[in-house]
Amino acid sequence: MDAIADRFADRAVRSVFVYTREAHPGEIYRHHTSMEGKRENAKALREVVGITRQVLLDEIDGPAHKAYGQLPNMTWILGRGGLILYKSAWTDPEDVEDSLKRALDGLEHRGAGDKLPFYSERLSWRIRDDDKFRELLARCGPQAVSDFFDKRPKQRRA
Amino acid sequence: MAVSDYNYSVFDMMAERPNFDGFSANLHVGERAPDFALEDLKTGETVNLKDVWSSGVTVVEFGSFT
Repeated sequence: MDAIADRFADRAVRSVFVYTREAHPGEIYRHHTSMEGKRENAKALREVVGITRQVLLDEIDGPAHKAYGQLPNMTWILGRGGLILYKSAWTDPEDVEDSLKRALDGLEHRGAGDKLPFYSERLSWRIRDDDKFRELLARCGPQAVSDFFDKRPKQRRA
Repeated sequence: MAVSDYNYSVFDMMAERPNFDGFSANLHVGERAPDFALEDLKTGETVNLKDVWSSGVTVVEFGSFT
């Protein structure tokens, strides 16, 4: 996502990372009980992941996070004036970049008068990689791994 | 440590499921996004989302360690 931010910076695209709550608290990175603790976790995340985008903190009880849907890793693309151009329940960089390109192209052509917007919905698909997710959870501590993998209900296929 | 519903200490997939199920029900594409005051981690200053999106198309990723 940082690479996308860099690639589109010269097209006046702003990119921010809003730090929420810990979705999978563990022994290393625990749940928040104060803004101070939330700041510390956010700083650690910035260091560990190497986030170069502007990092913004929601309040301790997450009013912004809740208003936007309270999911652990959503991405939204907002136009000038706050027009919602894209909302995604999961951050998939490929999907974000494709949508961002289409949004910028559409806005440019609408300005030129030769394109009109229309509403659409679709189900997007991401690669399932349990091993990778286990690694990400392990950064927070063993509890984060067991809370997710050992307690999840068995998946049923339709 | 104190625990709240929002800042839970133990992840419970079933408790979080309604957020995923309800995601498409509110705030649709084509509508106006809500503005919120957030804290810049680097400077400590307050940043309003509307001030960010008024300067250009804005990609907002929400997240934590996982």
